[in-house]
Amino acid sequence: MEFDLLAIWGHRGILIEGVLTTLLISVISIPIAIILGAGICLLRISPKRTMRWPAVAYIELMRNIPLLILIFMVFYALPFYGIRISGFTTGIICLSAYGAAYFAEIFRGGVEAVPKGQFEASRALGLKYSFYMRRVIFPQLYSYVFPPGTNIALTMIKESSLLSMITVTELTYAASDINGRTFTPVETFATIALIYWGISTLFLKLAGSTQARLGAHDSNSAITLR
Amino acid sequence: MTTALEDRPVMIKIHNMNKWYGDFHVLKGVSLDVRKGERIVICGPSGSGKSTLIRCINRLEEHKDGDILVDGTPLTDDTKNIDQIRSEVGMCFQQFNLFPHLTILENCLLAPMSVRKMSHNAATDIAMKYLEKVKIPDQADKYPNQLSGGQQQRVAIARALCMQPQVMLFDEPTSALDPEMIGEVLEAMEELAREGMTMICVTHEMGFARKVADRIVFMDKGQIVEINDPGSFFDTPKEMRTKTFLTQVLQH
Repeated sequence: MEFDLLAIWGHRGILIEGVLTTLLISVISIPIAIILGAGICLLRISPKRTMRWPAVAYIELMRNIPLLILIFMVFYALPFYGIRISGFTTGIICLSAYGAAYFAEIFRGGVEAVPKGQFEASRALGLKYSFYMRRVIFPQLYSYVFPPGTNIALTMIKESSLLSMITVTELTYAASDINGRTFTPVETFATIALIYWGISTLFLKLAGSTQARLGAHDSNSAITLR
Repeated sequence: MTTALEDRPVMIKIHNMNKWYGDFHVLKGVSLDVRKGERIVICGPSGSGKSTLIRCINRLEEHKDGDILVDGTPLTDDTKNIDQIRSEVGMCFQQFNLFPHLTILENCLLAPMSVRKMSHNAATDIAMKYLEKVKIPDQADKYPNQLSGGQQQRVAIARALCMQPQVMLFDEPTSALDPEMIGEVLEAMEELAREGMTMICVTHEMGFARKVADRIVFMDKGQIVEINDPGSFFDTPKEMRTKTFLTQVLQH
């Protein structure tokens, strides 16, 4: 069997649109998931039970149902209640909502990893809860949350392929489209896999250098600077 | 030392206070009055509840029964009241607990600016004054991890003093230090004592206790066993348990 890359080259327009859509969805969803996750984390660790409970319920729900089902519910079930959302927007909502639950748990893990003495010193100085969370605890988090956070963001990029099921013209949809036209599954899906791999690698490089740059001000690296 | 201690107002009043961790009765009917300007050293075997006792004074731990009054204000669940008391009661910890992502100066500025609403300039003046007092003004722009343990603990003292508290609590401030650094921290504490600060120190430094304390409180198994002046405490202790403890700590 020959390896017919020309067939794919002929449909490069579809591919490029697919890549751009995948990138666009990721670039929008990941920051939303991080911010939403931080908010849910604050609720989750609140001393008040009434604030913790909704956060726990949300996180449990998101972690225990498949993302694809969430996507189907928003895209196919909500219209029965008169709510119609485009595939693209559905993708943003579902991926953000899904990622936020994981980011919330990562942030919570980070807060718990900060030594207890930091909280006690803050309280002993008379600092208010919201103030010391913002100025003392959260700035110490990122060395704990950056590596697992990078993983979740990467998962979100790859899981966006599920949106091909609701006709969002992202990378995986583009692949099915090209395969339907050319009937070259080996070449098409190998190419797509390679592109996902490329995007992921670039993303990891970017995350790595960002962490290194932030780390220049980190207390832990101050030891090595000494 | 113009007025006799007995004539000075009571700064901290602990009356018949009890605390439990689950079923474990950590503090059993503890009563102690600390007068303004008084230096108290609390000692006792580990697990005797001495750290828990001073942590109750700024409500890092909640007492379950009895009363604690700081400068006349009773400690309750009222958040406003707790924040108010915490800003008047400074504390130093065994592990220093400096904020690692902030410079030495920033560590000292955070609370005065946020709680006391001081301007950056005013807070900086005060911070530098206290950093000079603990003899590390030249380290102001460094990060905590770049300092030795003794220096970090002195910064922690300065950071607490920047709030200009009425009382200072010390929770085993030298226990995590290398032996050669203990002296510099005790010196800073002695300086503070000379200036008339009300101090409650949990420590195993018996030399410091003899030199600085007005009264020494000996605790064992959650109870105050003996309260005595340093001379009598070391030379003619009243209680058997105190004697046993002293022979154990003083033979080293």
